[in-house]
Amino acid sequence: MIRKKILLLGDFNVGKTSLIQRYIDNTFDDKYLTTIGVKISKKFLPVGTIECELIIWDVEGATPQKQIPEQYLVGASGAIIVADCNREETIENLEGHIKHFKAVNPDGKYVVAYNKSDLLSAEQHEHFDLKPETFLTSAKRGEHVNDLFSTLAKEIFT
Amino acid sequence: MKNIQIILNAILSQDVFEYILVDRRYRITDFSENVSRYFDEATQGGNDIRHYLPEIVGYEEEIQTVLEKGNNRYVLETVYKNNYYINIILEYYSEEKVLILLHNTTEITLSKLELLQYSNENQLLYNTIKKILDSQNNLLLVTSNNKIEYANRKFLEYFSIKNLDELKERREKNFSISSLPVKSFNELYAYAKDEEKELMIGEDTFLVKATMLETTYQLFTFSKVTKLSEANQSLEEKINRDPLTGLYRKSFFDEKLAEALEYEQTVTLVIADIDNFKTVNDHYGHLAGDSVLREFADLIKNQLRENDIFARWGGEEFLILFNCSKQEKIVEKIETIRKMVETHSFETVGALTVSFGVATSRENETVQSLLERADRALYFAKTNGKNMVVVK
Ligand SMILES: Nc1nc2c(ncn2[C@@H]2O[C@H](COP(=O)(O)OP(=O)(O)OP(=O)(O)O)[C@@H](O)[C@H]2O)c(=O)[nH]1
Ligand SMILES: [Mg+2]
Repeated sequence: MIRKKILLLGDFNVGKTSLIQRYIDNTFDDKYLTTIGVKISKKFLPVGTIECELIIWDVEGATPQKQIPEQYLVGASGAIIVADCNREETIENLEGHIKHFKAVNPDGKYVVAYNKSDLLSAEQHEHFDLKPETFLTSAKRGEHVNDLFSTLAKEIFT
Repeated sequence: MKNIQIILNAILSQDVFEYILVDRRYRITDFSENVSRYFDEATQGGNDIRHYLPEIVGYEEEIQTVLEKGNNRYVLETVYKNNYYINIILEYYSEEKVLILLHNTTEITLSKLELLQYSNENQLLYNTIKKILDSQNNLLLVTSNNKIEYANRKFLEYFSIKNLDELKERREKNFSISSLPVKSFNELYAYAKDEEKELMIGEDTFLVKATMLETTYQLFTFSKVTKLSEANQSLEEKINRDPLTGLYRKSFFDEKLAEALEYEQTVTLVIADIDNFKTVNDHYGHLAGDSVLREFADLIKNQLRENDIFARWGGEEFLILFNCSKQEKIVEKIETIRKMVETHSFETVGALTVSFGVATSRENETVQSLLERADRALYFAKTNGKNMVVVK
C-alpha cells in the first residue's frame, strides 16, 4: 500500500472542510463549523494495479491572529491551496500559503482552488482566467471538486 | 525507566493517556487497553500503525530519528479522532521501539473551539461591515476619547493616508492629519450632534453629522457638497460627448465651427468615413462594429493636437476641425493618418481603409457651405476607389 499525505491549506472559512466532504461523501452542509487542529480522511485510489491511498489533512484555517502550525505540514507530498473567490483577501493570501508549504516540502506538488464559484455571476465567472493546476470550484454544487483532487493525485502518484 | 514511569502515571491519571509501541517497521507490538476508542476498529498487534493512525504517514523520517537519536520527541497537537481531540506524541522507548502516546485533550479543545468559532464568525462579520463602510461615498470616522479608532476608505483617500494602521500610528497627531477647523473631536461632536452642520476643509465644503455609538464612540459622517458650477460642468461635458467613442457630438462641433467662422478664422474641415463599414457590421456583428469605431477614434485622436476638434457625425463618419490656415500641412497630416489606418490591424476584423474629404474655409463661408464642400470631396473619394484624401 502506498500512502501519501496531502494538505488543504488556506484562510478560515474558504471551504476546505466542505471540499473534502464533497470529495469523500459527496455531501454539503451550509452551516459553518470551523475546524480546530486537524482531521484526517482517507481515500482509496488504485493507480493501475498499485494500491494507493490519499491521506487528506483538513487543517484549521489561518486567521489574522494565527498562522497554521508547521508540525502539520511535515511530510506532505501535496497540497490543495484554497481561497474563497469572493473574498479578495483570501486570494491575496494564497501566495503566502504556497510559500509556507514549499518551505517545509520543497518537492511537494500543489494545486489551487478558488472555491464558492457558485456565488459568482456568469460575468464574473468569465473574468477568472485560470492557469493550469488552478480550479474554480464549488463544494456546494460539486463543480470541479473531483478534478481538483484527481489532478493533484495524478501529479503525486505518477 | 523514565518512559515507563510516564506510562504508568498517565494510565493512572483518569485515562488521559493511551499508548502504543511500534517497531522499526511500524508494526504494533503493544498497546493500552482503551486505545481503540480513538480508532474506527479494534487495535491488533502486528498490524501497521499507519492503518489506525494515518496521521503518522509523512512522519516516517521523524520516527527513524527518534529511534536513532534517542532524545528526539515529536508532538502533533489537536488531532480529531473519532469524536475526541488528542495530541500525538512520538517518544523514544528503546533502540527498537517507539512509544506513541495519545493524550486526550477533548475537553480543553472543545472550549477553545467555541472561542475560535465565535472569533471567526465575528471576523467575517467585521469584514462585511468594513466592505459596506468602504463602499460609502461619505467620509466616515469613528473616534473615542478624542482619538481616531476607525476611518473608512473614502476618508483615508481624501486625506491621502495609506491605511488605518498609518492613521493609528500617527495617533497623537491625528488631528493635524484631518486638518479640521476645530480643536478636538469632542468639540466637533458638540458642534454637529444636534443637526447637520456645514464645514470647510481646505477648499471643500462638507456637511458633517455626529452620532454617539454606545457610550464611548463618536461617529462622524462627512458628506461633500458638490458646487453647482462643478456639477453643471461635468453634466455639460457629458451632453457634448458621444457615449460610444467619447468624441464630441456633431452639435458641439457645429457650434465651434460657427464660432470660428464668425470670428473670420481660416479653418480646415475634414470628413473621414471608414470604407465598406457596412460589411464589417454584416460580417462580424454590431458589437465588433462598435469596437472598430472606438479603436478608430482612439487611433486618430492620438495624432491630433489638443485644440483640434474631433467629433463623430454618426455611423462611421467623423469630423475634424483644424484651426490652421496652412492647408498643405493638414493634407500632409491626413495622408499620414490614412496610411497609418491602412497598415493598422483592427481587433477581430483586421485591415480597414478610410476616405477623407477636405475643405478650407473661404470668405463669407457658412457652416453649411463648408460642410457641403467637404462632403463633395468625400463623395469623390468614395466613387474613385476609396482609401484616399480629396481636397475641394
Ligand atoms: N456557496 C458556497 N458556500 C460554501 C462552499 N464551500 C463552503 N461553503 C460554506 O462556507 C462556509 C465555510 O466552509 P468550511 O468548509 O467550513 O470552510 P473551512 O475552510 O474549512 O473553514 P475553517 O475550518 O474555519 O478554516 C460554510 O458555511 C460552508 O457551507 C461553496 O462552494 N459554495
Ligand atoms: Mg474547516
